Formats: sequence, structure tokens, C-alpha cells
Amino acid sequence: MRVLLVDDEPELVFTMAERLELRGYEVDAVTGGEAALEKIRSVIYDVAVVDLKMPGMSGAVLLETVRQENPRLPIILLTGHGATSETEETLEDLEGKACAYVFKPVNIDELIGIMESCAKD
Amino acid sequence: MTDDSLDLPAQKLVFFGTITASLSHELKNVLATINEFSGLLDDLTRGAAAGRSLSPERLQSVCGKIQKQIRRGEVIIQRLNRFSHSVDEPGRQVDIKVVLGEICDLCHRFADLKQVALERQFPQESVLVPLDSFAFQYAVYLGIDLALQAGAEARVVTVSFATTGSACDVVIASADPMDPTLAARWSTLQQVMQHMGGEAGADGDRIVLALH
Repeated sequence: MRVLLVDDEPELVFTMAERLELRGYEVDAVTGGEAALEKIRSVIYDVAVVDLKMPGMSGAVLLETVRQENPRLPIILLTGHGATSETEETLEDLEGKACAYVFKPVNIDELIGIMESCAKD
Repeated sequence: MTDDSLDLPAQKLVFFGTITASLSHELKNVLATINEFSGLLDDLTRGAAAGRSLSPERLQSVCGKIQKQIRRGEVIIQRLNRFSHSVDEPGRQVDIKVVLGEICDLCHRFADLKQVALERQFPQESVLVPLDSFAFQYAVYLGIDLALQAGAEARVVTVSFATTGSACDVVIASADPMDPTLAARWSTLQQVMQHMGGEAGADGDRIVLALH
């Protein structure tokens, strides 16, 4: 399975990528929405895991853009927030566009379960 | 983002919430990163137990990165602690350079999200003034927020200050003119400055917060 990871925290995203690679996944990791869009336009991924809040192109804007260009790519949103009104509003707006939401800190085995499930659907 | 339809005490509480929510988000990222490093150590040691090679240098490198994140977390918690205590004893003597530096630190994430560089140009010397630190930080935050809303992204907002006798002017400068549609935000800023016995004004691409 080929996975794209997107988060503006470089040490987080590259370490998560290494952990997924140790489990046999093929992973590309980038630290911004613009770089992610370039990757999605040039590589076929089975699933993308995208941070919601990033400088420049946010995860929400990236999701909206990808949905228009590549409606079949499953996208899992990552968020650092717990249940706040702001997060809930954003997630409600994005309902039906994201495959799933995952809260940080991430449990890698749970994330893998969600990735596998999203890639199958 | 503050709600400008509220009265001043309520707006100040919303400001408190905005800053603490931002700091908690930053802390969450620190913990999430440590969580990944910890998981990686677990993966590597399990791999070693299963016969894969694992060098001490690799382990040391991951431990060093964990320590770096812990230091980052300590800085965030110190900022949170100083901000929480800024409501103590309004009117006590404070170094305006220190308080201004602290609110700039607290606003850096808002600037980062808009891809704006938040720069500071402070004089060398300390300037002690009697100040309501919390209200002052709220005013500077509102000024920085107005500057961040102005113009296109990928810009620079500069915060500076100058003193003349007992008066002090804080200047928040952007390359773009301030957005006139943010009238409610302006009104709040003026209210906060009046509360401190000062005033807020705009001069093209600059906001001036004058403390008398």
C-alpha cells in the first residue's frame, strides 16, 4: 500500500513515515499542503493522512482541492485538537469528504486499521 | 479569534482562551512527536530482539530528538505560565520589552499559519513602566491580528517600540494597509487602550499603540 503523510511538524511526519515503512508500507512524507498536492498529482496513492491545521494550504483546503481533482483518493484527517467547537465545525463542513478523523497523539496500529479500511472502501 | 460583539471583560476572557488554546495545540504536537519517537524506539528494539541490527548511535539519535522535544515543551509551558500570571497585580512595574517579547512569542503561531514573519525591533535597554500586562498583551495581540488580516500572505509584520519620557509608543507595521472592514476589531483595540489610559491609531500600514 502506498501512503502519503502530510503534517507541518517535520519530526512527527518523518518518524511516523519510518514506523509505517518498518511495517511494510511505501510512504511519502511532506510538510505542507502545496507539496502534498504536487505529490498527489504525480503519484498514485492508496490513502493520504493529512493534518488539518498547517501554514499555507491547510488540510481542509487540500481536502477540498483533492476532492475535485481526485475524488477516489481516501483522505484521513489528523487533528491536534480534542472536541472543540472550532474542530467540530470544521469536521462537520468536511463530512463526507474525509474518510476518517484521527486525533493526535496517534496510535500507529489504530491508524493502520483505519488506513486499511479506507483504502478498501 | 476573538468575538468583537462581546463586552470588554468577556472579550478579555475570549483572548485568554485563544492564547491558551493555541499553546495547548502546540503542546499536543510536542506530545504527538514524542509519542512517535517513543513508538520508533519500541519498533527498533523489537526489531533488534528479532535479529535486526541496531546501532547505539541510532538509539542515541532518537533519544536526543526526544530531549529536544521536551525542551520545546518546557518553553511552551513557561510561556503559558507567564501568560497566566500576566493577570496578577495590574499596574505593577514591568519591563515593556519583556512583556512585548512575550506576546510576540505567543502570537508566532498565528503568524506562522498565515505564513507571515513576525519580526521585532526592540531597543537594547529595559524600559520599566507601570502596566496592566494582560490588557497590554491583549492590545498588542489585537494589533498583530489586524496586521495579519491585512493584504496577501507571505509578508512581514514588524513590532517595535519607542519611549519618550514616561510615554511609550508600540508600532505594529505591515507592508499592506490595514483592512478597514475590521471596524469591530478596531473598536475593541481602542477600548482596551482607553482602559489603560492610552490610545490606538492607524497611520497607513502602521498601528500605533500609545501609552501615556
